Parts: sequence; structure tokens; C-alpha cells
Amino acid sequence: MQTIPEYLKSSWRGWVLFGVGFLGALIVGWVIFPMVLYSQHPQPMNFNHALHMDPERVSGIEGDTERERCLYCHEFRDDGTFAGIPKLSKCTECHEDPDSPLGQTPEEKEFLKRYVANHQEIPWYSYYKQPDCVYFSHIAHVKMGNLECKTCHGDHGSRKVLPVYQKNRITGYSRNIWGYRISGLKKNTWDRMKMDDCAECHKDMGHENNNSCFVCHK
Amino acid sequence: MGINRREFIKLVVGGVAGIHVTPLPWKLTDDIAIWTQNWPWVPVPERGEFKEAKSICTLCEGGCGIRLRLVDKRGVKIESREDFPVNHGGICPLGMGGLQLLYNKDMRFTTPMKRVGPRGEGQFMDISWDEALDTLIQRLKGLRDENKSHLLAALDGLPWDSTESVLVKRFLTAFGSPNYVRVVDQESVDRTVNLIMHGINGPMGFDLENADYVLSFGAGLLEGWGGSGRILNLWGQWKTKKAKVVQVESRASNTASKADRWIAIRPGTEAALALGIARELVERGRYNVDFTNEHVFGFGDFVDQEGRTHKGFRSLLMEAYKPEKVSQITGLQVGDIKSIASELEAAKAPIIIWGRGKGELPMGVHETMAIHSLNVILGRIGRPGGIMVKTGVPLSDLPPPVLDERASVGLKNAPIGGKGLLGCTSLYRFAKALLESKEPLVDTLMIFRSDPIQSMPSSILLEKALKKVPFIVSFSPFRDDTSCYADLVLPDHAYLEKLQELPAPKGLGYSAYCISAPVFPAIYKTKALGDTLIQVAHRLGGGPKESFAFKGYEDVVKVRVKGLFEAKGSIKLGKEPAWKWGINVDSGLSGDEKKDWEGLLKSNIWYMPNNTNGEHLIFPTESKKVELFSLLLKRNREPLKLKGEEDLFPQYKPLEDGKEGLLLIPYEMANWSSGWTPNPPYLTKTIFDNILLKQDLFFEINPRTAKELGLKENDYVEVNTKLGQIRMRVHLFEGAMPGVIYAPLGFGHIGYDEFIKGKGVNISKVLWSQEDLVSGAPLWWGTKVKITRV
Repeated sequence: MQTIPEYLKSSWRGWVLFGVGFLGALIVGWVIFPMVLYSQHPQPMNFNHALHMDPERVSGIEGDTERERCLYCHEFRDDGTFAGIPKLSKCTECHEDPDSPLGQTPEEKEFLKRYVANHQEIPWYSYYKQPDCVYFSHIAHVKMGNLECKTCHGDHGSRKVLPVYQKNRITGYSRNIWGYRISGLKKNTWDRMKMDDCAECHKDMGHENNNSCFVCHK
Repeated sequence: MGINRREFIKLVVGGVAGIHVTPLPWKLTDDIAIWTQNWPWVPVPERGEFKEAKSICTLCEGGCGIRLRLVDKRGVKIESREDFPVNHGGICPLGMGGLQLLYNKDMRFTTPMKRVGPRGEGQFMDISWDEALDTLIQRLKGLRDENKSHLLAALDGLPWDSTESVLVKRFLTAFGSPNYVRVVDQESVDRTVNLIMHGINGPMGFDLENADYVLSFGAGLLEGWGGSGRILNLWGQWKTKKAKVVQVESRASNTASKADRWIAIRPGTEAALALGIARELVERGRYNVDFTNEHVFGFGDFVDQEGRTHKGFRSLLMEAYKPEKVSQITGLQVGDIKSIASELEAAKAPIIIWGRGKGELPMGVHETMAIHSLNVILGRIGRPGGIMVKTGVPLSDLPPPVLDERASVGLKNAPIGGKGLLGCTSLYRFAKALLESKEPLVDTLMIFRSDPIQSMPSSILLEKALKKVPFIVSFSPFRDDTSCYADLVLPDHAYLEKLQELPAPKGLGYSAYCISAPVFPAIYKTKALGDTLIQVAHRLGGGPKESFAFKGYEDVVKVRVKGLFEAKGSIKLGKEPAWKWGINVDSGLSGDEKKDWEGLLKSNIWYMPNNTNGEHLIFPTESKKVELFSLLLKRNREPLKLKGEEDLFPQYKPLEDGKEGLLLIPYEMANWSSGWTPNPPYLTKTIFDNILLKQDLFFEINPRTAKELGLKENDYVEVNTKLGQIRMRVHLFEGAMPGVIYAPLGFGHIGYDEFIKGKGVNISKVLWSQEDLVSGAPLWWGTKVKITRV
């Protein structure tokens, strides 16, 4: 019977172990790492974007286009700055009476009891907050650049349930900036919000001049 | 089966190779890069709506208008206001750094507190407002129940005539104590001189905007005198219209360096120079003959009602202030004295101003009178570009306080330290009386917006005097040095958190009253001082309760401003600058009280430009004229312990505590607060290494003097005055007069936070001083020191 020579035996075992190490690293890098890197934070309450964007179900949401309806709550202030996540005062334009819910959901009742009645702001987690060293003007992109909200924010406006906010334990920023694919690869424009993505879009739209450092890093 | 070394390496190499085809190293590198840009200890303001608010700065009494940039409710930047008549876009470093005083919790009393450590250590424990008020009220009630209300005293550093100050005085009267004490600063001295010479108990104004020649006797125009915002703006205006600024000062300060002419005079002899110049003008016949004949009493020799002949001011000048003698006293050339007189003669609208440094440290009453006598003989009173004598702003009076039996009994006691001409006691006299008395004179001392432990000359005496006061209550919002001696703290709101007002901004040439509503709600658990006093009075019951029948502090202010609405001025900011004479201003008033109140809070100012109808030339003195021979001082000769008749005239009085040693003169800087207001940490960064290096404070000395003493740059020395010893370092400075050392004020704090506490030494503490007979101010510029190298 032919036996496998010792040196080959050793080599074979070595390659198996190399493979184990290689595979283990792949599991660590692709699966365990993202689980460890991000902490999970459910929003303080749910907000049904799909419901609020439907003028047939919610009267008072004005706007012919989807973008106009987004801007009804996520508005521009008089000085052109973007208000971002609406303050409670925007909610209470409709939900003014804490004792009279406008809908049937228990979430709304809880919202009225906890926040409207106590005049307390809702401590939302912001999915799209850029680092402090980045200057970003919504009005330049939405009004001058005529971009749709979904170009950067995807289908956020049609979601019924707010996703769990994932916070990067190192940087403190939202997972949405890097994107949900840990590989950093993207299919859609809204999959990532890193500097390269800004620059790529500027280039595609013929605004390469806007890729100068001080346009955003003032 | 075991893994051998070779196999283990293969496992690891596999792992390493594998990890490089995962996102882990690339993502981690990216995250770490972002993390380095976001240090958690770098403060980043919350995002929110940008807003702008207009207000006034009350950190000093300059009355500047400021603009605040807010993100939501948080202030993030202070800038100046160009639409505000006082400062027209000028602002000082302290004013710009003011926000750090609000949000820095280590600098503030964030809640009522009681002392837990030894006095002066600044160790406090948080207590509730209920407990704090109960403690104070129990103590005050006890005093009144035992008919010992006169054992309460109040030290008031609030702006003169402000509603808060009026309430403090009212509280004391209704309580039954005569012990209303103020720190005598230059503002008080100016008011005293205004009373003595013009018969007006009110502020003096300097119409600098319309002057074309400014002769400044030591006024630190660029160091913070008269409100930095206004003066910095004016400095530009003067340069544009080619007005000349002459600075009389021994040290090459910023003002002296930037002035058109610097007269380096021996410190403390400014009055002699002023009188020497006056003599020169009189001798040449180039004074204002019409004005002195018509409006001045005591200029020439005169015969009184009893038929006795008295020498007039002119004779005194001729005898005692000959140029050669003045030259000897001041160290200046006779030619200097004559040339300044010639310049004054040639100027169309000259003004003579005074004040040492920022004008917080007092000058003597007689020397202020001496310098001001130049304005008098040149007829520069009530004229464009001259000195304005004002009764203050026409605020309505509150109904008189109700005095119950206990208050009446208490008020029969003599005030500790005696009452001055302005109706209050000088803190310096008060402290000396406490020190000299064997009996306890005070049980409870309440302190309002004043930090004399830091800023009063010879404050080491006050430190000792405070040991004799069993209970001290501070109402300061800041952890100032004097508050470190307090047993109980009931913190006021800081500026911008409360309704703030400033009747008569410091040195302004026309009548103005600045006011601002709170810009944002209180950050900490503090309470507006006016409301605290009203609450305490209500709980005391009796006379105090009846005297404080107001709903709140704001209501009292509303009652007082009614007087403004009835006067001729305006609350509307017009295009014409308010300092222009004889302009017709649109009052901006509707006649509706609520609307006018809102209008006043919107413009933040009521003002009345000067007119040309000569109203201001009515002098309510005994002689109905400007008095160079003071009949008021004559009447008060005995209580004030004035000696000869020359004490009734403006005069130069030498001041020195000995012939040996160097003279120590403190100096002040625009970028360092030396009064009650604390320094924002921003300002600490602006101090040069040859002023403060880590904890060491430097004094300036002329290289020649230093060489004689064998001192070199950066040497450590011990500086000894009669009152104590301080350790400092040497900085050689050509701009220092030989034989004099100059040390900065406002350092060596025992209170506040790590950026200020323990930095340098407190010069005020060991300054030798002598009492001014008229005002009770500590006169401080004669301190002699011995220096030992260590």
C-alpha cells in the first residue's frame, strides 16, 4: 500500500489550517465585525412615514409631489437652512390636543401622552447626520440642484416602521453613512453617504468644481 | 494530534490573508480617522435654528449694544451692534467673550449654596431655594424681633440708580438699617465732584463725540475707560476728523502709545499739572472770561456776607502753581506745561478728562476737582464737546418705603463709617470702622455685584474686617473672590438671563437708559435678584412687606420707566447719531404703555440728545453757579475733617507712604477684567508671557532701574509693601518710568475656575492707601515697595 510521504502529509495539513485561518478571518471580517462595530438603538417611538405621506389618509399634508410632501415637515427655515428632523412644534400643528388623537394607533396615544402633553421634544436618532467637519446645504441640492429626496435618502419616506438606528461604536455616527453593506459597495445612490459618493455625484452632474476641499470642509 | 510551529504559522498567515479580503482593516482605518476628528471633549454646539437677538452688555457699565447669534436657545456668538447709539459697532474683548461666563458652570453658582469649608476657601454645598430663603429670613427676622435691625448692612455694587440698586436701598430702609455701603470708585468720585462743583447728584458725562482736542489725565481710553465699545469706535472717529488726543500718564500704556502726544508725568501729580496749565491760561488771559464771570463762583477774590475777604481760585493758582514749581512736582519741562496750554487755547472744542486706567480705581476728590477746573475756566460745561452735568435719567420714583416701628428704631442708629455726601457709606470707611471697633457692629452683611476682596485697594484690611461679620450673604451669580467669604449664596441670574438695565452708561455725553429683556431662560437654578428681594420682604411681613407691594421685579421696572415715556426723549433708533446736538428725534412713543414698553425692549434704549437751549447751565449749588470755592464743603467742613480754606478749592495733594523704595503703580488692560466681572478663559489666552507665565505674574520695571537694583528679566523677587508681601517676576520695559514698578490688576483670584483661580497675585490686596477725606475712597497711588531678589 502506497503511503503519503511525511513531507506531503505535513503540507496538506498546513494548507487545511491555512484555509481554516482564512475562512475564520472571513467570518470575523464579514459577519462578526459588523455585529460588534454597530450598537443597536430603537427609536424612542415609531413614526409611520408611509401614512403621513399619503394625503388621502392624512389631511393637511400639502404638496403635489413626493418631494413637496417631504418638505412639508422636513422644511426649510426662512433663512434657507434646513430644519432636519421636525421639532415637536411641527407635530403639534396637527396633533395639538394631547387628549384627542387623530388616528387609532396606540403609538399616537403614547406620543401625545409622553411628548405633547409634557411639551417635550422627541429624542430621535438621526440616520443621516454627517460629521461636524462637513458642511452640507440641503437647499443647494434640493432647490438649486433639483435633486429628489430619495436620491440620498432612498425609500425612507415610504416606510411604515422606522428601522433600528445603528450607531458606530468608534465614530459615534450612523450606519447609514457607510451604508448597510459592510463591503461599502453600492447599487443605488442612496446606499452610502461617504465623501467619495458626494464627489462621484458632483462629477456625474458636471459640478466637479464643487469637489474642492473647502466647499464642504469649511 | 498537535499543531506544530510551522502549522500554527500557516493558520495565522491564513487568518491574515483572509482578513485582508474582508472590509475589516479598511473600515477600521476609516473609522479611526473619523474618530480623530471628533474628540468627545471638543465642544460642538447642538444643531438647530439660527436666530439673532439684540441686547445690551452689562458686564461693565459702558452700555454697549450687542447682537447675539443663537442656535435654538443657546448663545454661540456675541457681536456688536452698529445701530446702537452708544457704541456704533464697537465692542471689547470681554464683551465678545461673555458667553463663556454664562455656560461655564465652574465659574457660576449654579444653585443656592451654603459654605462648608473655611471662609475664603470657596467650598460650598448645594442647597434648595427653600432652605436658602428660610435661612436668610430666619436670621433677618431674628434681628428685627430683637430690635437690632441696624446690625444688617448691604454692600451695593449695582449700577447707580438701577432698579435693583433702588430695591436694595429700599429693602434696607424698610428693614430699618442705615448701613447702605458702596465701593467708592471713580464713578462715585465723579458724582461727588458733580455735587460739590455743580450741585447735581448725578453722573457726569463727557461729550467726547463732539470734541476736537482730548486732554486725558490718565484715563485709559484704550484700556476700558468709559466703556470700551464706545471709545474704540470714537478713536476711529477722532482719527478721521483729526481730533488730537494727549495722554498724561507715567507709563507707556496702549493709550499713551497710540495718542498723538504722550506726557510722561510723575505718577500722582496730574492735579498739579492741571493747575499749572490753568495758571498759564489765566496768566495769558486765555480762559473763558464770560463763562467765569457769569457762571463760576470763587474764581476771583470775593467778600462773603460777613464782610470777610477770601482769596479766589485765581489767586491760589498764581501763588501756588508757578510753572517752575509745577515742573518740579511733575517732573515735566516748563515748556511742556506751556505748550499744552497753547494747544488748549487753539482747540475749538477741547475736553479735559480724567481717571486712572479703566476708571474703576478712585482718584481723590480734590485732584478730580483740580483737573475739572480746567474745563470750568475754559467754559467747557454744557457745550458741544465738553462736560455734561446731568441729574440722571428721568425715571419715575417709587412710592416712599413704609417704615414700621422697628424700622424707625433701627434707622435712628448712625451708619457705620458715617454717611458720605452721596448718601451712602464708603466701603473703605466701613471696613476700617469694623476693624477699629471692639464691639461687633454688624451681624449680617449682604453683598450685591461687588468683589472688593479682589479689587479694592488695601483689600487685606477688608479681609480682616469680614472676619468680624458673623454672617455674610452673597447674591452674586459668579464665584467671585468676595463670595468665597460668604456663608450663604442666593445666586442672581447672570446677564442676558434676566431683565437688565443700565441707567446712564458710564461717561456718556447725553442722557440714555439701556434695558434688555432676558435673551434666554436661566441656565442654572438661579433667581433674579429683584424677585429674591421682593420674596424676602414679603416673608418678613410688616413694613418690608408693605414697602415691596410689587408682583415682581419686572413690574417695578415698568413703574419706573413711565417717567421716561413722559419725558422728551426717544425710544426709536434714528439715522442721526444720538450725540448730535439739537436734533429733533421722533420719540417713537405711542402713548400706550404696553406698546411703549415693548418698543423700549425692542430698541433697548431710551435717549435724549442734548439741546441748545441752555437748560443744562442751571447749577443748583448754593451760589447757583459752578463752585470753585465749594460752599457745600464749607458747610460740611467739620464732619469731613477738612482743615484750611484751601481744602474748599481744587488742589493738588501729594500722596506717598515714605521716601524710600520704588513706587508701585497698578495698571489695567482692555483684555483683562479687573472688577467684579470675571474673565472668560478666552481672555486668559490673550495675556502675553511677560505679563503672566503659568502662575507667575510679572511687574514692569525700567531697564535702568533694574540695572541699579541688579535685576534681570524673568528674575523672581519678593515685593514688600506696608501691608504685605507678594512674589512676582521681573519684566524689563522701556515704557516704565524709572523708579516706578507697574503691576497688572485683576489677578490672583481665590474664586472662579481653573483658568483664573490662582493665576498670579492680587496687587490690590497689598496696595497701601490713605483715606480721601471727602469721598472716603482709598487713595492708592503712593505705595512704596522694597524689592528683594529670591
